[in-house]
Amino acid sequence: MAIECLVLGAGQEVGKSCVVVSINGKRIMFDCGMHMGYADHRRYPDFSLISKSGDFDDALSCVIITHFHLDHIGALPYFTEVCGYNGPIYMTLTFLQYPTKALAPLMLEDYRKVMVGRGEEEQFTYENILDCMKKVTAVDLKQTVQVDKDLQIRAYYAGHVLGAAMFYASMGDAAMVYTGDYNMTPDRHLGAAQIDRMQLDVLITESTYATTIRDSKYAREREFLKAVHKCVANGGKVLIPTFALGRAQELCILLDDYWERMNLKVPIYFSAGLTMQANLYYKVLINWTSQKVKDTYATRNAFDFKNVHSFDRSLLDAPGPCVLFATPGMISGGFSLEVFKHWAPSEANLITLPGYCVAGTVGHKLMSGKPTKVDLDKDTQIDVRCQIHQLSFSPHTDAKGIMDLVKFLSPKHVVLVHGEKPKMDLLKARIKSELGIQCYDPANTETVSFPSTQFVKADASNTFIRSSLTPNFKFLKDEVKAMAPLEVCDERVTEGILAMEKGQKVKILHQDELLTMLGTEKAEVEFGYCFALHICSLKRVLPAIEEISVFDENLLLSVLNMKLSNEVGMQDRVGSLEVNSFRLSICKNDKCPHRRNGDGDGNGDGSSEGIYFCCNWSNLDMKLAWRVISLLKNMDSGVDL
Amino acid sequence: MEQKLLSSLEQIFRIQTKISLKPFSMARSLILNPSTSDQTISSILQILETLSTATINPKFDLLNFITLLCEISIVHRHFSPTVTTILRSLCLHCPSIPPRAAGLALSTLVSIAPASASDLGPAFSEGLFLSLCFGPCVPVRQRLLMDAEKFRVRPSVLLTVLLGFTKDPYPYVRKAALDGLIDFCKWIVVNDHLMVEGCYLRAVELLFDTEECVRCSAVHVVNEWGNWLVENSEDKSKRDCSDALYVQLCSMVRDMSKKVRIEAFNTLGKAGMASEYILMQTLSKKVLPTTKEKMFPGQLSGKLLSLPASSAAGAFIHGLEDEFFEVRSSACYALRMPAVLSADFAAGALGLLMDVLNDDSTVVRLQALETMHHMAVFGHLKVQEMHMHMFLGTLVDMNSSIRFTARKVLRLTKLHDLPLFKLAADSLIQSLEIYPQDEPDVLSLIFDIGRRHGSFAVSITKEILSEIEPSSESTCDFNSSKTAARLVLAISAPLSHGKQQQLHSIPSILYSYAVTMLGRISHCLTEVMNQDTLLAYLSYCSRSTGVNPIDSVKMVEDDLPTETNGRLTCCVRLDMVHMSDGGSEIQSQGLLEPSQIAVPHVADNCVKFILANIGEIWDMTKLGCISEVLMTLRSWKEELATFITDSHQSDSVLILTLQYLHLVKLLSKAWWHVTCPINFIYNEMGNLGYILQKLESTLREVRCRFIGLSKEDELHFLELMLVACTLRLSIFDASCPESALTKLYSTKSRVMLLYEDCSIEPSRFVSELIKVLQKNDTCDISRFRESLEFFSLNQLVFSGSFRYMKAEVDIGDNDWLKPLPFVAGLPVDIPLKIRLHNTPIETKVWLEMRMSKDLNQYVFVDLKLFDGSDEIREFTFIAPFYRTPKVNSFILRLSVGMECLSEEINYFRGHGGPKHELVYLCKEKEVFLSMVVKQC
Repeated sequence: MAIECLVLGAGQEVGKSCVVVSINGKRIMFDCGMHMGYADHRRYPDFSLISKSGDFDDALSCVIITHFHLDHIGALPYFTEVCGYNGPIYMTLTFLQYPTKALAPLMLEDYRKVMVGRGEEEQFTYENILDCMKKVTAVDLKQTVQVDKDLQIRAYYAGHVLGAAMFYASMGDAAMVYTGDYNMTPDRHLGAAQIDRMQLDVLITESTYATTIRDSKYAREREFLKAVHKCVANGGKVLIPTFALGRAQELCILLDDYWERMNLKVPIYFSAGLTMQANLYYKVLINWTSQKVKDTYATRNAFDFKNVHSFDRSLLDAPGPCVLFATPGMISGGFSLEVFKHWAPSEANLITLPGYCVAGTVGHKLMSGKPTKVDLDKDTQIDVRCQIHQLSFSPHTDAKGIMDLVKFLSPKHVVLVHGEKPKMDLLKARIKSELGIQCYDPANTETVSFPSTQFVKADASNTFIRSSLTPNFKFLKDEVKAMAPLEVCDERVTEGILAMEKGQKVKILHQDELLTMLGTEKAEVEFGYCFALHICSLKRVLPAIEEISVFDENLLLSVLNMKLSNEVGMQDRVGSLEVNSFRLSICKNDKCPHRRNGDGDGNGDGSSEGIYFCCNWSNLDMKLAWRVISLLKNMDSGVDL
Repeated sequence: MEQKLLSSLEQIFRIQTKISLKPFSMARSLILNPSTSDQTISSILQILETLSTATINPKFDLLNFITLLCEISIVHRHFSPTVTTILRSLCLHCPSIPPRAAGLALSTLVSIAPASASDLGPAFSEGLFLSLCFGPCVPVRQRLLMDAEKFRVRPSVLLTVLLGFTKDPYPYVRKAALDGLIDFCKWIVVNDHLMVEGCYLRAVELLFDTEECVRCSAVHVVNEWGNWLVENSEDKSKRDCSDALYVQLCSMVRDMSKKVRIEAFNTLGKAGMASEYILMQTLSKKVLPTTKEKMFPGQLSGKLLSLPASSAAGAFIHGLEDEFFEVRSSACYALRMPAVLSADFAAGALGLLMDVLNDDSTVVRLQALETMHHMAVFGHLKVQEMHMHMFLGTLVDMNSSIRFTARKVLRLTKLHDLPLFKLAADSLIQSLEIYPQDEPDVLSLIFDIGRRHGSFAVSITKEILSEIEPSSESTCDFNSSKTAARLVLAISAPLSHGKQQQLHSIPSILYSYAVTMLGRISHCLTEVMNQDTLLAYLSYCSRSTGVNPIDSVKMVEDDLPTETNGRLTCCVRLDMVHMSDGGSEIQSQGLLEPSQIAVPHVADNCVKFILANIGEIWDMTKLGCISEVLMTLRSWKEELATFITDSHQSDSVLILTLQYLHLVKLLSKAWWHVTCPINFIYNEMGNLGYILQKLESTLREVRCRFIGLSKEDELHFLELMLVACTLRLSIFDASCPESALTKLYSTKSRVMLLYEDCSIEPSRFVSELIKVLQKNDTCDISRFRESLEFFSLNQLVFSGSFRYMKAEVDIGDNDWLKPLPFVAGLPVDIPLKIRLHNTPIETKVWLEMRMSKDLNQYVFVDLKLFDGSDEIREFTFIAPFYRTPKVNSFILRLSVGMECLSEEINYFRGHGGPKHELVYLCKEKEVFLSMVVKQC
């Protein structure tokens, strides 16, 4: 059994998040997003890779959507209504009470309108969106959902945006977490991501800010407030393009507090009805907000802004200062572009850009350098004279947050998605070197697979169960290092022996039982291990080997023994090296039962170039044996041997 | 009813062979009812006792039976002896007792009377405890481990058991074992270093446990045992060890569990020392270059074998940004310890704390202010202009305790320029307008900061005047608190410690105005002066023009410090009754140059005041109010320092007083460390050894540099020396008890000699100490401690006319631009102008030339070769320096020192250098030398 990750979107890029994970035979699609930067087929993930025949219901066990941003949910109506997926879809909880599900149709409808407004071909209709939403099952935080007999999923709070969740999925003994987008530091209106410590095989995490380390948010807030205050004090207008939800509320709480403290009378506007409607949702969905909002909720709802009014188009060219929140966030079209056209030519005005803009949008053009002119299309060109303030707070976690989460969860493997390739490479290297965890950053349409933990069902004998109930710890002292501190270990499980008899179920016995079962007086367990060392690597380490005939075993062994003598003193017997119960010899039996092929380190590919060494030892010398084996295997890499 | 129940109960127990739960519940209802008579209870006990002797009955439900007994012992305490007997016989005679019942019986036994378990024989209690712990019943195991210390198990056994159970698969058992280990560290002196390290590392491993309760306890254990390891490690590795512990704790502040984060910050607040680079790293999320490569040994097994120092990155930033106010508040608290240790850290942390003042939670804001106050007490609060906006905002906070704490901080804040001062004063007045109920505290604060920043206060009096003058168009209300505040500010200026010359500029009319508000102002200044004094002061000032009012301000010796609000303030009574109108005129005519004559006079009074009151300070130290003591000493020192002028002769007394204050400060600190080691925060705030060393060297300096001290004074300082030695001997890890003992003996004999000379009785402390020394049982630390209890600081009277030894060294025109030339390998001459004050001809003066830490050279300066008197000697001296290094340029550090002949021990250096310890007479001077460049 294994875990396979097929990345359909957001592999080494930001946009159209979509990862299909096969976990012990079940397939789950995490997120189903669209790319904002493209208008052609690249806009949606390539669903044909999931199933050639187009029968998605059989191919997928379920679809899980982490939050309602378009790059995570945008392709869902297309997938269900156009491609015809009919299986279960999970999002965080239902209408009004359940953020993602409640907010998702809003978001999708807004997007559809923009598309149609741009005169593009309609991909799906409003009815499609509604139909799609009917198929959705809602999930609450920390609620374990049994998707089918074996597959379990659970949602954890992710911060980022209202209703965003990380998802834990377990199938049998394999377990994994898909983070979606998350934030490790709390905002004013949202809390920090929160998850339990679990045994995980794979962690799939976003890496938008794979190399950035942000300083304290307090300083950023101060700078932002200063810039806005200066602009309105000089009579300028401030345009804050934001995604409809989340950032707008965050900045609005910040500005509203500040306005009150400084006693400012400059109006703050919200552009479309949509954002106002979103505010309404926020007021109701208090359970998903930060501790602060929850705490003050009893006295005053933090989303009842005192200084905020809704914007009327006629105010666009009205004199006097104001602050305006407009969608969409990257000035890729819609109302914020319209406002931009009006306000950009004046030096008094200010545009605050979000920390991240997708390439190809006006926001991205404004961020790269300081352009004086921006081409909208072939015919329109706009003079940009206004001030630009880049606002680097972002609902995504920074590099330190990613590292902290990975360290906390300590999974066996990490997969990075939702980031830019060069930065992901750096983060990948850090995770490998600092935490010692295998890390991957597959590109779109690539698959990575990992072995998952294997479990065998076995019966246990009564004696073994009884012995397992009573504590039986022992103290270990490292014999090699005399000054090493004490180590505790619990022996009760290691006392068990797995017995496999032909035609019977696998059974675990207590070691005392074994003799009676076998009907003998003495039984000794011996371990065997047979591995190959490449001739060339042997030659590198032992230059003397040139002179020795390869088949002069004794000589070869004694040379090896000399090499190892610093670490382990072994006795040189005829044809073998021995220490305590450990015995090493050259193996010529091609069908040696202990033989290991394809060890993963590339040494034992079974080619004739290698020399096989066969080892066996008894339980007592377990540590010693593995030490010698690892010494031999790493002989060519370790210089100091 | 009671009787009925009892009789039916007796019946059931007698008749029934198979016992159901019914009689138990009946008995229970009887027992739990507090109004049940003792008679009934005793008959129930009797039934139970008869039953217990016949426990062979296998159906007999022992658990319920013991539960009943347990309940009796809780509700009806006076029956516990009987309960104990029954339980004991049960435990002894019933081997097949089920584990739950046995566990309950054992816990009941020890909780009734801890001694009773040992009556069973220690081996029995221990044996039962162990067999139950190792039994398969998990709840019993957890319960017994939770109060393991009660069972009188041998410590060595208990430690192994606890350590072993940290490996248990059940999280609550792990937690109980860890909690047991926390206490264990406190009451048992563990000697096996490996064992302790094993425990510590096991706890470190459990920091990564999956259960939050285990991680919480693990944080606690890591701190306790880690501290033990730090204390008992060798000096070389001590620093690394404490750094590793600090980083380990820092790495836990990113845990996902709120409880663990709170625990982590709480322990960080109690943690000991940490290196500055680590502390600075906790303020930055980016990894600093200083910590980049640094690794500490981490866990024993598993992946995280080493602990990079960078794990501490941004610990406090994360804490202060946390979602939960409990965590933020703990983080603010944890900032205190490092802020005391390092001024740089305090400066960095202050920036963060100022932002925290914007927090929405009152608890957090308050804690942030408290931390700032803590910084201010230790002199690490450096407020800058950019902070002011945020900081002064708290003065008008809605919450009164926040306002109060903000004022407390402001009281200790140094405002280093006029705009800052104005800003602060304006904000205070503004806050007074909004919250008139704060008037007393605000006015006294204004008075305080006016006194501390006299010159600033003077410079804004003009504004005050123009706003108050009725002639101007201002609509000033003479009843408003605003006016009161302004007047208080104006009248505070003359009482400042600053420059008095500017004080003429305060218009006397302001004092007249102030008189009209006398009651109001004096009400606010009750801590500082009483109404009569204030009136006398105001009326005097309003009448006299042009006379420096400070002349009339006289400190009176019998003024006592009063303690109000936990803050120690010295009452300054202004005694002006004797000054009639005529008198003041005559005096003012007599004082032609007030700046020269008046100042020593005032200084004299100040010295007298300090000497008279220092005894009280000592009492405070003994009570443990260390921060108040340090504050008072510091303010006294600041005041004294203003009197020191450039003339050399007049200020011997002042300098000695200053040195004396310094001595008392060091002594209080050391005393505090030795006697009150409970409080964690202060415990490690400075190394005790370091303080003691400084104390000893200062004492030596005082004794050598002041010549002509009277015998009484010398005795006083010698006694302090004895205290210092005793302090050193009474700490556990005394580094050099031998030398301290020798010193103690030698000082003691000198003291005895002086006592005989002066023919006075030895003080209580000295006589106790002599007793201890006579017993010759010097390894007993507690004996020295006991003798310390008798020490009290006597009043010091400067009776003799003593003089102060001092040297001045002039190197002429030498700086890094104009270095002296030298040739590498050849000696170089350094021409010096040396001026020595008050050096008798027999003084052995040495010139020390230091190039690096261990490369120094001494030159003897023979005073007989030079002209001059004892009072002043001035001569040119050519000092040769032999060991010029092969470098292009180097710096030589020069200082003049005298051999300290009174020191008995002459272990000092040898070959060519001084034989005794040197006492330096001047500050170190730097000489710049540069290689001669060959001209081709």
